[in-house]
Amino acid sequence: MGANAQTSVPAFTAGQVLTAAQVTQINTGIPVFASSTERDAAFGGSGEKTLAEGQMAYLEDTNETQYYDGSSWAAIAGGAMTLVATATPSAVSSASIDNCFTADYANYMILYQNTAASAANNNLKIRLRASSTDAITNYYYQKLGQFSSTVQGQLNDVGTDEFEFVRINTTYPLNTWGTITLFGPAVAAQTLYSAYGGDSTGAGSPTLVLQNYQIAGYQSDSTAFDGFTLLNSSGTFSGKVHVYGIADS
Amino acid sequence: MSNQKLEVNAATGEAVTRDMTPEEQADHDAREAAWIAGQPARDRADVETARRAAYEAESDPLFFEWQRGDGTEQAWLDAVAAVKAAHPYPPAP
Repeated sequence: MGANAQTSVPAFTAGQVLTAAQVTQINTGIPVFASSTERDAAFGGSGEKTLAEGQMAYLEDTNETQYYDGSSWAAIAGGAMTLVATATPSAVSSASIDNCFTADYANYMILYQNTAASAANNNLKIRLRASSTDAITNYYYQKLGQFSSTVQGQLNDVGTDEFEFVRINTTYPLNTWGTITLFGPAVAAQTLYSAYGGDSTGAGSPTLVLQNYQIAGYQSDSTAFDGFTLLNSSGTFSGKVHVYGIADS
Repeated sequence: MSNQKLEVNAATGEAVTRDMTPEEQADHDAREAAWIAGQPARDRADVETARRAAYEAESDPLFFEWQRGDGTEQAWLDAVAAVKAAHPYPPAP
């Protein structure tokens, strides 16, 4: 039981002189309990508040903030997106994140910003992964790329052993970024893939030369994936990776 | 020398950068060799894409002007030559 945990939520009477310990406990704000057992025992007894709608509580064992709705305790819902993993690959040719896809979320978003590259104009790609082993077949995708005023579509541009993601280069390595959305990677069915990426390959006027890519595809294995690998075509890359689980509601 | 690989376990937060295993290194080397081998074709494709856009913007209008009798064949041919000069094919490997 932590320093803030309490076993009772007292009800004070008019004129009562409070002790320092009681005031300190009130200063905690939301009452803190070791578990739901202590929470349930803390209300309604002699000298304790009667449990009523709007009461808040924090449980140490589950790190959860709850509210009482008049009939039961419920968790305070967080945002729709939850950060589930981060990585900062540095001068590597491959970066794997395991155990980031679980049944907790149906869909996931991956944000990537490049910080360095050792080889000019090469592709950063992604493979799905289960039990620390990459799947190396059955990736199918269509890319729409734009360079200046030229727009070009390409099917399975870097082969079907991985998804294409974004181009990285040494000229402006910081100006490479992208987002990936994966639909149902942890479900034993095909995984849908969509990605957007951009990079800058050279100086221009008035702005840098920009390219952007939109990619849609799927990986057809009936596999429940739990991770992924980023890998590049040549040399090494450095960057920042954030993986978010997206709640259905 | 081995390339490096980062492994992150999201469940534990552990992150390790290590040398690639021989199998991982072989996979990387094969993909890198294929990428390098394909570079001349990609460079040529980039030039073709750039030429196609330049033809549409610069020489095709002159072709149709010539066809309508509003321009000359030489003006169109000069524009085509200018596009080719501006977007030369890379030297053969």
